[in-house]
Amino acid sequence: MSQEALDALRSAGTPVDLLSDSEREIFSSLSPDEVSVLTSIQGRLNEAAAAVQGQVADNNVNTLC
Amino acid sequence: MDKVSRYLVVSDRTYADPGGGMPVRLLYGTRTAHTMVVDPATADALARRDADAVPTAWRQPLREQRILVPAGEDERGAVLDRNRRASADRSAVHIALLPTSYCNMGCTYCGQRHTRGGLGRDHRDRVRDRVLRAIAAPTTRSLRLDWFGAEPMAGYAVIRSLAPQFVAAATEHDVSYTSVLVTNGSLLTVAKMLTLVRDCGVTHFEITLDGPAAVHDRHRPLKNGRNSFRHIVDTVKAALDTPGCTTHVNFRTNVDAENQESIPEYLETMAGEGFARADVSFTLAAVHSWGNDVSSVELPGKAFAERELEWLRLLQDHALNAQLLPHTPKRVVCPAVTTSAEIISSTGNVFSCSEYPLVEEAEQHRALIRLDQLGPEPGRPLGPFDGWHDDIANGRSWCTDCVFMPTCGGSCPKAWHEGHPPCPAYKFNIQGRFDLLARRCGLEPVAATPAPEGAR
Repeated sequence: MSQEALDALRSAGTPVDLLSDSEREIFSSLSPDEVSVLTSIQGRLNEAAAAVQGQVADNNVNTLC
Repeated sequence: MDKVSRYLVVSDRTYADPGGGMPVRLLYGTRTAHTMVVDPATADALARRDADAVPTAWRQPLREQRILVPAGEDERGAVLDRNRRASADRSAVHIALLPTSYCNMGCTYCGQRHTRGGLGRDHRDRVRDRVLRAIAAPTTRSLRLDWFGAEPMAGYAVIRSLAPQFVAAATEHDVSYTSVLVTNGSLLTVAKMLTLVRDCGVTHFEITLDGPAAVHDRHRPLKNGRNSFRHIVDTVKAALDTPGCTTHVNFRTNVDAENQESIPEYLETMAGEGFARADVSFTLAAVHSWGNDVSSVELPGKAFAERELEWLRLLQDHALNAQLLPHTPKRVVCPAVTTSAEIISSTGNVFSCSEYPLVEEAEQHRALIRLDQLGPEPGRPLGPFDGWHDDIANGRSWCTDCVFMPTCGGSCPKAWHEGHPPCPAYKFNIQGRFDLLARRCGLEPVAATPAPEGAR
Protein backbone atom coordinates (compact mmCIF):
# COMPACT_ATOMS: atom_id res chain seq x y z
CA MET A 1 0.00 0.00 0.00
CA SER A 2 1.33 3.42 -0.82
CA GLN A 3 2.30 5.90 1.87
CA GLU A 4 -0.39 8.27 0.58
CA ALA A 5 -3.07 5.63 1.00
CA LEU A 6 -1.84 4.81 4.49
CA ASP A 7 -1.84 8.47 5.45
CA ALA A 8 -5.33 8.88 4.10
CA LEU A 9 -6.60 5.93 6.11
CA ARG A 10 -4.80 7.14 9.22
CA SER A 11 -6.28 10.61 8.93
CA ALA A 12 -9.72 9.06 8.49
CA GLY A 13 -9.32 7.41 11.87
CA THR A 14 -8.45 3.92 10.66
CA PRO A 15 -5.96 2.32 13.09
CA VAL A 16 -3.40 1.41 10.41
CA ASP A 17 -0.54 1.64 12.88
CA LEU A 18 -1.85 -1.47 14.61
CA LEU A 19 -1.31 -3.51 11.43
CA SER A 20 1.77 -5.56 10.70
CA ASP A 21 3.73 -4.90 7.52
CA SER A 22 2.37 -8.04 5.90
CA GLU A 23 -1.18 -7.15 6.88
CA ARG A 24 -0.70 -3.84 5.11
CA GLU A 25 0.88 -5.55 2.14
CA ILE A 26 -2.12 -7.72 1.32
CA PHE A 27 -4.29 -4.71 0.83
CA SER A 28 -2.35 -3.65 -2.22
CA SER A 29 -4.43 -6.00 -4.38
CA LEU A 30 -7.80 -4.76 -3.14
CA SER A 31 -9.96 -1.84 -4.06
CA PRO A 32 -9.67 1.30 -1.91
CA ASP A 33 -13.02 0.57 -0.27
CA GLU A 34 -12.03 -2.99 0.53
CA VAL A 35 -8.70 -1.82 1.87
CA SER A 36 -10.40 0.67 4.11
CA VAL A 37 -12.80 -1.90 5.54
CA LEU A 38 -10.27 -4.70 6.09
CA THR A 39 -7.65 -2.35 7.53
CA SER A 40 -10.12 -0.87 9.91
CA ILE A 41 -11.46 -4.21 11.11
CA GLN A 42 -8.03 -5.83 11.50
CA GLY A 43 -6.88 -2.84 13.48
CA ARG A 44 -9.89 -3.14 15.75
CA LEU A 45 -9.24 -6.87 16.19
CA ASN A 46 -5.62 -6.28 17.12
CA GLU A 47 -6.66 -3.56 19.53
CA ALA A 48 -9.25 -5.85 21.15
CA ALA A 49 -6.63 -8.58 21.63
CA ALA A 50 -4.32 -6.20 23.44
CA ALA A 51 -7.00 -4.60 25.58
CA VAL A 52 -6.01 -5.85 29.01
CA GLN A 53 -3.05 -3.91 30.34
CA GLY A 54 -0.45 -5.91 32.22
CA GLN A 55 -2.32 -9.19 32.30
CA VAL A 56 -0.12 -12.25 32.86
CA ALA A 57 0.97 -12.99 29.31
CA ASP A 58 1.07 -16.75 29.56
CA ASN A 59 -1.62 -17.11 32.13
CA ASN A 60 -1.27 -20.38 33.94
CA VAL A 61 -2.46 -19.09 37.25
CA ASN A 62 -4.21 -22.03 38.80
CA THR A 63 -6.06 -20.67 41.73
CA LEU A 64 -8.27 -21.98 44.42
CA CYS A 65 -8.06 -19.08 46.83
CA MET B 1 3.78 -25.76 -1.68
CA ASP B 2 1.39 -24.79 1.12
CA LYS B 3 -1.36 -26.58 2.96
CA VAL B 4 -4.00 -25.16 5.25
CA SER B 5 -3.05 -25.65 8.87
CA ARG B 6 -4.95 -28.19 10.93
CA TYR B 7 -4.80 -25.58 13.69
CA LEU B 8 -7.26 -23.15 12.18
CA VAL B 9 -10.78 -22.17 13.15
CA VAL B 10 -12.89 -20.21 10.66
CA SER B 11 -15.95 -18.27 11.76
CA ASP B 12 -19.20 -19.81 10.63
CA ARG B 13 -20.70 -16.38 10.32
CA THR B 14 -19.95 -13.52 8.00
CA TYR B 15 -19.81 -10.07 9.55
CA ALA B 16 -19.88 -6.51 8.31
CA ASP B 17 -19.94 -2.97 9.57
CA PRO B 18 -23.50 -1.73 10.21
CA GLY B 19 -25.25 -0.38 7.18
CA GLY B 20 -24.15 -3.06 4.72
CA GLY B 21 -20.38 -2.79 4.66
CA MET B 22 -18.02 -5.22 3.03
CA PRO B 23 -18.59 -8.76 4.38
CA VAL B 24 -15.72 -10.45 6.22
CA ARG B 25 -15.08 -13.62 8.17
CA LEU B 26 -12.75 -14.24 11.10
CA LEU B 27 -9.88 -16.70 11.35
CA TYR B 28 -8.28 -17.92 14.56
CA GLY B 29 -4.92 -19.57 14.02
CA THR B 30 -4.24 -21.52 17.19
CA ARG B 31 -0.51 -22.04 16.50
CA THR B 32 0.04 -18.30 16.93
CA ALA B 33 -3.19 -17.48 18.79
CA HIS B 34 -3.81 -14.72 16.28
CA THR B 35 -7.17 -13.57 14.95
CA MET B 36 -7.37 -12.33 11.37
CA VAL B 37 -10.07 -10.87 9.20
CA VAL B 38 -10.38 -11.98 5.58
CA ASP B 39 -12.81 -11.66 2.73
CA PRO B 40 -15.42 -14.45 2.47
CA ALA B 41 -13.86 -16.07 -0.62
CA THR B 42 -10.52 -16.50 1.12
CA ALA B 43 -12.27 -17.82 4.22
CA ASP B 44 -14.17 -20.33 2.08
CA ALA B 45 -10.94 -21.57 0.50
CA LEU B 46 -9.34 -22.01 3.94
CA ALA B 47 -12.41 -23.73 5.35
CA ARG B 48 -12.32 -26.14 2.38
CA ARG B 49 -8.61 -26.65 3.09
CA ASP B 50 -7.91 -25.63 -0.48
CA ALA B 51 -4.62 -23.78 -0.22
CA ASP B 52 -4.34 -23.38 -3.99
CA ALA B 53 -7.51 -21.29 -4.01
CA VAL B 54 -6.13 -18.77 -1.51
CA PRO B 55 -5.36 -15.49 -3.33
CA THR B 56 -1.64 -14.84 -3.71
CA ALA B 57 -1.76 -11.60 -1.75
CA TRP B 58 -2.98 -13.39 1.36
CA ARG B 59 -0.36 -16.12 1.38
CA GLN B 60 2.50 -14.39 3.15
CA PRO B 61 0.49 -13.04 6.10
CA LEU B 62 -1.27 -16.39 6.41
CA ARG B 63 2.12 -18.13 6.43
CA GLU B 64 3.36 -15.75 9.11
CA GLN B 65 0.44 -16.74 11.30
CA ARG B 66 0.98 -20.46 10.51
CA ILE B 67 -2.43 -20.63 8.89
CA LEU B 68 -0.75 -21.73 5.69
CA VAL B 69 2.14 -24.11 6.39
CA PRO B 70 4.54 -26.16 4.27
CA ALA B 71 2.67 -29.09 2.73
CA GLY B 72 5.03 -31.66 4.21
CA GLU B 73 5.12 -30.33 7.75
CA ASP B 74 4.17 -32.54 10.70
CA GLU B 75 2.32 -29.82 12.52
CA ARG B 76 1.52 -31.70 15.69
CA GLY B 77 5.15 -32.70 15.98
CA ALA B 78 6.27 -29.12 15.36
CA VAL B 79 3.98 -27.75 18.06
CA LEU B 80 4.95 -30.42 20.58
CA ASP B 81 8.65 -29.87 19.82
CA ARG B 82 8.15 -26.15 20.39
CA ASN B 83 6.52 -26.94 23.72
CA ARG B 84 9.26 -29.42 24.66
CA ARG B 85 11.88 -26.75 23.99
CA ALA B 86 9.98 -24.29 26.17
CA SER B 87 9.68 -26.87 28.96
CA ALA B 88 13.42 -27.57 28.77
CA ASP B 89 14.28 -23.86 28.90
CA ARG B 90 16.27 -23.24 32.06
CA SER B 91 16.25 -19.46 31.64
CA ALA B 92 12.61 -18.99 32.73
CA VAL B 93 12.27 -20.06 36.35
CA HIS B 94 8.89 -20.28 38.05
CA ILE B 95 8.62 -20.87 41.79
CA ALA B 96 5.39 -20.93 43.78
CA LEU B 97 5.63 -20.56 47.54
CA LEU B 98 3.06 -21.26 50.24
CA PRO B 99 3.99 -18.90 53.09
CA THR B 100 1.45 -20.47 55.43
CA SER B 101 -0.79 -23.53 55.80
CA TYR B 102 -3.68 -21.48 57.13
CA CYS B 103 -6.68 -19.98 55.37
CA ASN B 104 -9.22 -17.74 57.05
CA MET B 105 -11.99 -18.83 54.68
CA GLY B 106 -14.00 -22.04 54.65
CA CYS B 107 -15.12 -22.32 51.03
CA THR B 108 -17.52 -25.16 50.37
CA TYR B 109 -15.64 -26.41 47.30
CA CYS B 110 -12.10 -26.31 48.71
CA GLY B 111 -10.07 -29.51 48.70
CA GLN B 112 -7.19 -28.31 50.85
CA ARG B 113 -6.68 -28.98 54.55
CA HIS B 114 -5.69 -25.86 56.44
CA THR B 115 -3.89 -25.74 59.76
CA ARG B 116 -2.71 -22.91 61.96
CA GLY B 117 0.91 -22.25 62.74
CA GLY B 118 3.68 -20.27 61.11
CA LEU B 119 6.67 -21.50 59.19
CA GLY B 120 9.66 -22.59 61.18
CA ARG B 121 12.76 -20.40 60.95
CA ASP B 122 14.71 -23.19 59.26
CA HIS B 123 12.05 -23.66 56.60
CA ARG B 124 11.89 -19.95 55.88
CA ASP B 125 15.67 -19.78 55.54
CA ARG B 126 15.71 -22.78 53.22
CA VAL B 127 13.02 -21.22 51.04
CA ARG B 128 14.97 -17.97 50.86
CA ASP B 129 18.20 -19.75 49.97
CA ARG B 130 16.47 -21.86 47.33
CA VAL B 131 15.00 -18.83 45.57
CA LEU B 132 18.19 -16.78 45.82
CA ARG B 133 20.19 -19.65 44.30
CA ALA B 134 17.69 -19.86 41.44
CA ILE B 135 18.06 -16.12 40.79
CA ALA B 136 21.84 -16.33 40.88
CA ALA B 137 22.05 -19.36 38.57
CA PRO B 138 23.90 -18.36 35.39
CA THR B 139 21.12 -19.73 33.19
CA THR B 140 18.32 -17.72 34.81
CA ARG B 141 16.98 -14.76 32.82
CA SER B 142 13.53 -14.40 34.36
CA LEU B 143 11.83 -15.42 37.57
CA ARG B 144 8.14 -15.65 38.21
CA LEU B 145 7.47 -15.92 41.93
CA ASP B 146 3.94 -16.88 42.97
CA TRP B 147 2.58 -16.50 46.47
CA PHE B 148 0.01 -19.20 46.75
CA GLY B 149 -2.21 -20.73 49.40
CA ALA B 150 -3.94 -21.71 51.65
CA GLU B 151 -4.30 -17.92 52.09
CA PRO B 152 -0.88 -16.38 51.49
CA MET B 153 -1.84 -13.12 53.18
CA ALA B 154 -2.13 -15.11 56.42
CA GLY B 155 1.63 -15.39 55.95
CA TYR B 156 2.12 -11.73 55.09
CA ALA B 157 5.05 -11.45 57.48
CA VAL B 158 6.86 -14.12 55.50
CA ILE B 159 6.17 -12.35 52.20
CA ARG B 160 7.24 -9.04 53.69
CA SER B 161 10.46 -10.60 54.93
CA LEU B 162 11.44 -12.61 51.85
CA ALA B 163 10.12 -10.80 48.78
CA PRO B 164 12.27 -7.63 49.02
CA GLN B 165 15.35 -9.87 49.16
CA PHE B 166 14.20 -11.63 45.99
CA VAL B 167 13.54 -8.33 44.23
CA ALA B 168 16.97 -6.98 45.19
CA ALA B 169 18.72 -10.17 44.09
CA ALA B 170 16.88 -10.14 40.76
CA THR B 171 17.97 -6.55 40.18
CA GLU B 172 21.55 -7.41 41.11
CA HIS B 173 21.66 -10.35 38.69
CA ASP B 174 19.71 -8.58 35.92
CA VAL B 175 16.92 -11.13 36.14
CA SER B 176 13.43 -10.07 35.07
CA TYR B 177 11.10 -10.44 38.07
CA THR B 178 7.33 -10.87 38.06
CA SER B 179 5.23 -11.97 40.99
CA VAL B 180 1.64 -13.16 41.30
CA LEU B 181 -0.25 -13.12 44.59
CA VAL B 182 -3.18 -15.55 44.57
CA THR B 183 -5.38 -14.41 47.42
CA ASN B 184 -8.92 -14.42 48.76
CA GLY B 185 -8.42 -10.69 49.31
CA SER B 186 -9.96 -10.51 52.76
CA LEU B 187 -6.68 -9.69 54.53
CA LEU B 188 -5.56 -7.05 52.06
CA THR B 189 -5.43 -3.44 53.10
CA VAL B 190 -4.51 -0.45 50.96
CA ALA B 191 -1.23 -0.08 52.82
CA LYS B 192 -0.39 -3.77 52.38
CA MET B 193 -1.23 -3.71 48.68
CA LEU B 194 1.05 -0.72 48.22
CA THR B 195 3.84 -2.47 50.12
CA LEU B 196 3.33 -5.62 48.07
CA VAL B 197 3.58 -3.65 44.83
CA ARG B 198 6.36 -1.24 45.76
CA ASP B 199 8.57 -3.37 48.02
CA CYS B 200 7.66 -6.97 47.29
CA GLY B 201 7.53 -6.80 43.49
CA VAL B 202 3.96 -8.10 43.14
CA THR B 203 2.92 -7.43 39.56
CA HIS B 204 -0.37 -9.33 39.51
CA PHE B 205 -3.10 -9.97 42.08
CA GLU B 206 -5.46 -12.87 41.50
CA ILE B 207 -8.45 -12.27 43.77
CA THR B 208 -11.53 -14.45 43.98
CA LEU B 209 -15.02 -13.02 44.24
CA ASP B 210 -17.78 -15.57 43.79
CA GLY B 211 -20.72 -13.27 43.13
CA PRO B 212 -22.40 -10.14 44.47
CA ALA B 213 -22.00 -9.47 48.18
CA ALA B 214 -24.67 -11.78 49.55
CA VAL B 215 -23.69 -14.69 47.32
CA HIS B 216 -19.93 -14.25 47.71
CA ASP B 217 -20.20 -14.01 51.46
CA ARG B 218 -22.24 -17.22 51.58
CA HIS B 219 -20.09 -19.09 49.01
CA ARG B 220 -16.80 -18.02 50.59
CA PRO B 221 -17.51 -17.56 54.30
CA LEU B 222 -14.84 -16.31 56.64
CA LYS B 223 -14.17 -18.70 59.48
CA ASN B 224 -14.84 -15.91 61.99
CA GLY B 225 -18.35 -15.52 60.61
CA ARG B 226 -17.79 -12.11 59.04
CA ASN B 227 -18.24 -11.03 55.43
CA SER B 228 -15.52 -10.01 53.00
CA PHE B 229 -17.03 -8.74 49.73
CA ARG B 230 -17.33 -5.09 50.67
CA HIS B 231 -13.88 -4.98 52.26
CA ILE B 232 -12.22 -6.54 49.19
CA VAL B 233 -13.94 -4.25 46.69
CA ASP B 234 -13.24 -1.08 48.69
CA THR B 235 -9.62 -2.03 49.32
CA VAL B 236 -8.77 -2.90 45.73
CA LYS B 237 -10.50 0.19 44.41
CA ALA B 238 -8.67 2.50 46.80
CA ALA B 239 -5.32 0.84 46.19
CA LEU B 240 -5.57 1.03 42.42
CA ASP B 241 -6.52 4.68 42.66
CA THR B 242 -3.39 5.43 44.69
CA PRO B 243 -0.57 6.98 42.66
CA GLY B 244 2.31 4.58 42.19
CA CYS B 245 0.25 1.42 42.64
CA THR B 246 1.12 0.06 39.22
CA THR B 247 -0.12 -3.50 39.12
CA HIS B 248 -2.81 -5.67 37.61
CA VAL B 249 -5.78 -7.25 39.35
CA ASN B 250 -7.73 -10.16 37.97
CA PHE B 251 -11.02 -10.96 39.69
CA ARG B 252 -11.72 -14.64 39.38
CA THR B 253 -15.12 -16.16 39.98
CA ASN B 254 -15.44 -19.86 40.70
CA VAL B 255 -18.80 -20.75 39.19
CA ASP B 256 -20.90 -23.71 40.26
CA ALA B 257 -24.56 -24.66 40.44
CA GLU B 258 -25.05 -22.53 43.55
CA ASN B 259 -23.84 -19.14 42.31
CA GLN B 260 -24.33 -19.26 38.54
CA GLU B 261 -27.62 -17.36 38.59
CA SER B 262 -26.00 -14.45 40.40
CA ILE B 263 -23.30 -13.74 37.81
CA PRO B 264 -25.24 -11.02 35.91
CA GLU B 265 -25.86 -9.13 39.15
CA TYR B 266 -22.21 -9.53 40.10
CA LEU B 267 -20.97 -8.10 36.82
CA GLU B 268 -23.36 -5.17 37.06
CA THR B 269 -22.13 -4.55 40.60
CA MET B 270 -18.47 -4.60 39.61
CA ALA B 271 -19.10 -2.21 36.73
CA GLY B 272 -20.94 0.08 39.12
CA GLU B 273 -17.93 -0.05 41.45
CA GLY B 274 -15.75 1.32 38.67
CA PHE B 275 -13.75 -1.75 37.68
CA ALA B 276 -14.10 -1.15 33.95
CA ARG B 277 -10.47 -0.09 33.73
CA ALA B 278 -7.39 -1.30 31.91
CA ASP B 279 -5.58 -2.63 34.98
CA VAL B 280 -8.44 -4.92 36.00
CA SER B 281 -9.69 -8.07 34.29
CA PHE B 282 -12.20 -10.79 35.02
CA THR B 283 -12.16 -14.57 34.73
CA LEU B 284 -15.10 -16.89 35.17
CA ALA B 285 -14.02 -20.47 35.86
CA ALA B 286 -16.01 -23.60 36.52
CA VAL B 287 -15.45 -25.17 39.93
CA HIS B 288 -13.53 -28.41 39.50
CA SER B 289 -12.29 -31.16 41.76
CA TRP B 290 -9.21 -30.27 43.78
CA GLY B 291 -8.74 -33.75 45.18
CA ASN B 292 -12.26 -33.52 46.59
CA ASP B 293 -15.76 -34.43 45.44
CA VAL B 294 -17.54 -31.43 43.91
CA SER B 295 -19.82 -33.48 41.68
CA SER B 296 -22.99 -32.18 43.34
CA VAL B 297 -22.26 -28.56 42.37
CA GLU B 298 -19.89 -28.83 39.39
CA LEU B 299 -21.15 -27.54 36.02
CA PRO B 300 -20.31 -29.87 33.10
CA GLY B 301 -17.99 -28.26 30.53
CA LYS B 302 -20.57 -27.81 27.79
CA ALA B 303 -23.23 -26.50 30.18
CA PHE B 304 -20.74 -23.99 31.57
CA ALA B 305 -19.70 -22.93 28.07
CA GLU B 306 -23.31 -22.23 27.09
CA ARG B 307 -23.91 -20.03 30.11
CA GLU B 308 -20.49 -18.42 29.78
CA LEU B 309 -21.39 -16.78 26.45
CA GLU B 310 -24.16 -14.86 28.16
CA TRP B 311 -21.73 -13.72 30.87
CA LEU B 312 -19.04 -12.76 28.38
CA ARG B 313 -21.62 -10.64 26.57
CA LEU B 314 -22.50 -8.92 29.84
CA LEU B 315 -18.82 -8.31 30.59
CA GLN B 316 -18.57 -6.64 27.21
CA ASP B 317 -21.74 -4.61 27.77
CA HIS B 318 -20.29 -3.32 31.04
CA ALA B 319 -16.86 -2.63 29.43
CA LEU B 320 -15.24 -5.04 31.90
CA ASN B 321 -12.09 -6.68 30.52
CA ALA B 322 -12.14 -10.39 29.84
CA GLN B 323 -10.14 -12.42 27.40
CA LEU B 324 -12.33 -13.77 24.60
CA LEU B 325 -9.59 -15.89 23.02
CA PRO B 326 -6.02 -16.60 24.14
CA HIS B 327 -3.57 -14.28 22.41
CA THR B 328 -0.44 -16.27 23.23
CA PRO B 329 0.12 -19.95 22.45
CA LYS B 330 0.49 -22.15 25.54
CA ARG B 331 4.00 -23.49 25.30
CA VAL B 332 4.32 -24.47 28.97
CA VAL B 333 0.87 -25.43 30.14
CA CYS B 334 1.68 -25.42 33.86
CA PRO B 335 4.54 -25.92 36.35
CA ALA B 336 4.00 -29.68 36.18
CA VAL B 337 5.56 -29.95 32.72
CA THR B 338 8.85 -28.16 33.30
CA THR B 339 11.56 -28.87 35.84
CA SER B 340 12.28 -25.13 35.80
CA ALA B 341 9.13 -24.73 37.92
CA GLU B 342 8.47 -25.94 41.41
CA ILE B 343 5.91 -25.49 44.14
CA ILE B 344 7.27 -25.39 47.68
CA SER B 345 4.56 -26.21 50.19
CA SER B 346 4.44 -24.72 53.66
CA THR B 347 4.95 -28.29 54.86
CA GLY B 348 8.40 -28.44 53.28
CA ASN B 349 7.29 -30.76 50.50
CA VAL B 350 8.22 -29.87 46.92
CA PHE B 351 5.68 -30.54 44.16
CA SER B 352 5.40 -30.01 40.45
CA CYS B 353 1.60 -29.66 40.45
CA SER B 354 -0.10 -26.68 42.09
CA GLU B 355 -3.10 -28.79 43.06
CA TYR B 356 -1.13 -31.02 45.42
CA PRO B 357 0.03 -28.79 48.32
CA LEU B 358 -2.13 -29.08 51.45
CA VAL B 359 -4.28 -31.81 49.87
CA GLU B 360 -3.95 -34.52 52.48
CA GLU B 361 -3.43 -37.53 50.23
CA ALA B 362 -0.97 -35.65 48.00
CA GLU B 363 1.04 -34.28 50.93
CA GLN B 364 1.41 -37.85 52.19
CA HIS B 365 2.19 -39.61 48.93
CA ARG B 366 2.95 -37.28 46.01
CA ALA B 367 5.77 -35.00 47.10
CA LEU B 368 8.76 -35.15 44.77
CA ILE B 369 11.25 -34.42 47.51
CA ARG B 370 11.61 -32.48 50.74
CA LEU B 371 13.00 -28.97 50.48
CA ASP B 372 15.87 -29.83 52.82
CA GLN B 373 16.87 -32.70 50.54
CA LEU B 374 17.20 -30.57 47.40
CA GLY B 375 20.75 -29.99 46.30
CA PRO B 376 22.26 -26.61 45.41
CA GLU B 377 21.60 -27.00 41.70
CA PRO B 378 18.49 -25.34 40.19
CA GLY B 379 15.54 -27.39 38.96
CA ARG B 380 13.36 -29.97 40.66
CA PRO B 381 13.26 -33.76 40.23
CA LEU B 382 11.00 -35.17 37.54
CA GLY B 383 7.32 -35.29 38.48
CA PRO B 384 4.38 -37.37 37.33
CA PHE B 385 3.46 -35.06 34.43
CA ASP B 386 6.81 -34.16 32.91
CA GLY B 387 6.08 -36.59 30.07
CA TRP B 388 2.94 -34.68 29.14
CA HIS B 389 4.07 -33.71 25.63
CA ASP B 390 4.78 -37.39 24.92
CA ASP B 391 1.37 -38.29 26.31
CA ILE B 392 -0.22 -35.96 23.77
CA ALA B 393 1.97 -37.30 20.97
CA ASN B 394 0.98 -40.85 21.88
CA GLY B 395 -2.75 -40.21 21.94
CA ARG B 396 -3.24 -40.45 25.68
CA SER B 397 -5.64 -37.50 25.68
CA TRP B 398 -8.08 -35.94 23.24
CA CYS B 399 -5.55 -33.14 22.80
CA THR B 400 -3.74 -35.23 20.17
CA ASP B 401 -6.22 -34.28 17.47
CA CYS B 402 -7.68 -31.12 18.97
CA VAL B 403 -7.53 -27.92 16.93
CA PHE B 404 -6.97 -25.95 20.14
CA MET B 405 -3.98 -27.93 21.42
CA PRO B 406 -1.45 -25.14 20.63
CA THR B 407 -3.35 -22.49 22.62
CA CYS B 408 -4.60 -24.74 25.42
CA GLY B 409 -1.62 -27.04 25.85
CA GLY B 410 -3.86 -29.68 27.37
CA SER B 411 -5.04 -27.40 30.19
CA CYS B 412 -4.33 -29.72 33.15
CA PRO B 413 -2.34 -32.97 32.86
CA LYS B 414 -3.46 -34.01 36.33
CA ALA B 415 -7.12 -33.80 35.36
CA TRP B 416 -6.49 -35.95 32.28
CA HIS B 417 -4.67 -38.53 34.38
CA GLU B 418 -7.66 -38.62 36.73
CA GLY B 419 -10.09 -39.11 33.85
CA HIS B 420 -11.63 -35.63 33.93
CA PRO B 421 -11.00 -33.90 30.58
CA PRO B 422 -10.34 -30.25 31.51
CA CYS B 423 -11.07 -28.73 28.09
CA PRO B 424 -11.37 -24.94 28.08
CA ALA B 425 -14.79 -23.39 27.52
CA TYR B 426 -13.71 -21.83 24.21
CA LYS B 427 -13.46 -25.30 22.72
CA PHE B 428 -17.25 -25.52 23.06
CA ASN B 429 -18.23 -21.92 22.35
CA ILE B 430 -15.64 -20.56 19.92
CA GLN B 431 -18.28 -19.53 17.39
CA GLY B 432 -20.12 -17.54 20.03
CA ARG B 433 -16.83 -15.92 21.01
CA PHE B 434 -16.26 -14.95 17.37
CA ASP B 435 -19.66 -13.24 17.52
CA LEU B 436 -18.62 -11.37 20.65
CA LEU B 437 -15.24 -10.43 19.20
CA ALA B 438 -16.94 -9.13 16.06
CA ARG B 439 -19.37 -7.22 18.22
CA ARG B 440 -16.51 -5.71 20.20
CA CYS B 441 -15.12 -4.48 16.89
CA GLY B 442 -18.44 -2.94 15.91
CA LEU B 443 -19.40 -5.64 13.39
CA GLU B 444 -22.75 -7.30 12.92
CA PRO B 445 -23.47 -10.80 11.60
CA VAL B 446 -24.84 -10.75 8.09
CA ALA B 447 -25.23 -14.45 7.29
CA ALA B 448 -24.56 -17.86 8.73
CA THR B 449 -22.21 -19.98 6.64
CA PRO B 450 -21.55 -23.35 8.23
CA ALA B 451 -17.87 -24.26 8.12
CA PRO B 452 -16.98 -27.74 6.94
CA GLU B 453 -16.23 -30.47 9.46
CA GLY B 454 -12.71 -30.18 10.78
CA ALA B 455 -12.52 -26.42 10.35
CA ARG B 456 -14.21 -25.81 13.70
